[in-house]
Amino acid sequence: MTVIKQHFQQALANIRSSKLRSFLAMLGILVGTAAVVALISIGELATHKALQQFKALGTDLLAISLFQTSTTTKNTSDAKVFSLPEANLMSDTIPTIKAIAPYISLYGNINYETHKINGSIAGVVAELQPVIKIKLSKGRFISPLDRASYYCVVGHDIAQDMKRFSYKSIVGNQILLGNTYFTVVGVAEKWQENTFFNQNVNRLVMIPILTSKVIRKNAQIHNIIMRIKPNINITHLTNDIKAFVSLHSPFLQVFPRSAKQIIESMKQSSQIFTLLLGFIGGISLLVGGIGVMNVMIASVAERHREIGIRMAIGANRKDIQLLFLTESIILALLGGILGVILGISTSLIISYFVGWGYKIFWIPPIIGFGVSAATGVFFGYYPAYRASRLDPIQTLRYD
Amino acid sequence: MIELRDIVKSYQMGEATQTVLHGVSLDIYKNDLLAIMGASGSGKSTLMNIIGLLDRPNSGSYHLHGREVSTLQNVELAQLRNETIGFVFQQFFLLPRLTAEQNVGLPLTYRQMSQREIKPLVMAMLDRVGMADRAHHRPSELSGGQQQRVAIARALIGKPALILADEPTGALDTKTGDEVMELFLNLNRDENTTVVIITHDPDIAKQCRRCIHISDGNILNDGD
Repeated sequence: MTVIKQHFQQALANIRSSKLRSFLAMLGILVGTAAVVALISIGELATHKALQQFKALGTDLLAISLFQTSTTTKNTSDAKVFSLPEANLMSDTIPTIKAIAPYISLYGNINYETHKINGSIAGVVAELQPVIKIKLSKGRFISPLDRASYYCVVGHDIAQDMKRFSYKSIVGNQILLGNTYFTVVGVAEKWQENTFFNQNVNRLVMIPILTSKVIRKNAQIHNIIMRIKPNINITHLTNDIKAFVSLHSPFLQVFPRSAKQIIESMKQSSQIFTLLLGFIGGISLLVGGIGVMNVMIASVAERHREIGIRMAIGANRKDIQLLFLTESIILALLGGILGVILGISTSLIISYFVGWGYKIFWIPPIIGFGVSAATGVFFGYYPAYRASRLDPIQTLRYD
Repeated sequence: MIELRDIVKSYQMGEATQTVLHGVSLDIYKNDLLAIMGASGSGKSTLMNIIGLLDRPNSGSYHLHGREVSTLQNVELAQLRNETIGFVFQQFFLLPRLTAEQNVGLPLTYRQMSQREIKPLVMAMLDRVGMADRAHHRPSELSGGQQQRVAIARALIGKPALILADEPTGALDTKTGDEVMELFLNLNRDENTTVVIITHDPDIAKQCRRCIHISDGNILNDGD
């Protein structure tokens, strides 16, 4: 124990006595560790952020897009489109579908009290509310009883804009969509954005799906989002859906997107991403390790005399080896500690500017720290071994 | 105490083998004060390295305290050096980054002693060689004579049976050289420490009780 403590003190003294050189050796490890920690942290943060949206909605979602195949006739009336009753029939026919919400994305000007508001319009059904979990702060959502009436529900950000332009209560007031006035019946709360639903609900005005034709004459259902029973085979379900659609609308092709599949592929690509980043960081660590080895070999060469003296007064080879190994481990660990700090602060700064909201992941620092220590041992071993094999007579004789 | 019999040591110099010691036999007794004299290249340094357990003979036997040591493992040799031999070198060979106190304590750290145990012993030893007030100085802050005193303190700290001094006054002026010699003589007289001094200075040799000459790898005379 005394010997280790002594080695530790002497290694520190030695590192301090050649500050610049030690710092340069450390720098390699520092940059390497910082790269590993920062890159992996950022990768994890990005994945975390991407997965967060699904946490809010749950994973039992399936979205399908319906489009005409390019080989069929032009967009004319003979191409049979998918209608609302058919969607409901599909839901009734396929038992694994719990709720079905077809919607139509519409684009038109939104005006309120003569002010233009940025946003989009969608024709929706009542089921959309539970399926993508929209909460209302005021009023009610679109109901089946609305049929083709001129009612609408506005998203959170749209409501904020409306408040700026008028003191009137939003619910019960009228908003101009395209050329038609709609009465606002509900206001949605802030909604967690989700790539799964094609629109951002916060900037969306939702109208009854049957009213869609008022905004755009040839409005058709191209998107359906549905909540499905948990733990079912997605492939079977999509096959059922494809069979149903081809029976009713033979010219439409089904493009399914399941939340589970998206998460899977997201996780997979993020794993590859993380691995790649780790690999890049690993290369810089390797270079750093070689720097440590270089400095240690120089240090051993410079201290031949010291090694001889220590051997003469009773140090055995193991003692000498430990002395130099301690030094390289301290170098690597110092670099590792500083690197972890730098890496965490880098990822913190980046996540701040990207606006991700920070969360410290403990795995990358632990990996960075462990790997830098291992680098110290690995790249310190050879110089230390060489030191321990020196012949005391040779080292004492020559200056 | 030490019994060398027919020690042969040769070095491989490329193709040729150079024999440095041709069957040297030598006894060193407890409380001896022995000078080994010889010109440079005579083999006296090699003899010292063998006595000091830094080198092994090619043939012959070396008994230390009655134990054959020429066949021991490196680890055992290191331990024996630590416990029974104190080296004093011409160039002092203190570690430049350590203070006088740390230098003197170094042999004891290799005995796994704690810093708390070591410190009082070191201070007592520094006091004995008259260097107590320089305990926290580094070698570069000390004069040659002072460095050699610290080095002697380091050699003595482990209470070795044998002090092996290689030209201990070689790098010192006459006055400090005499002081260092005085230290050795006192040690030998007062503490019965066995002292072997390798030198080419007849004045030093004269102060020793016994003197041997070595030339071309042979002991010429053992002038008791």
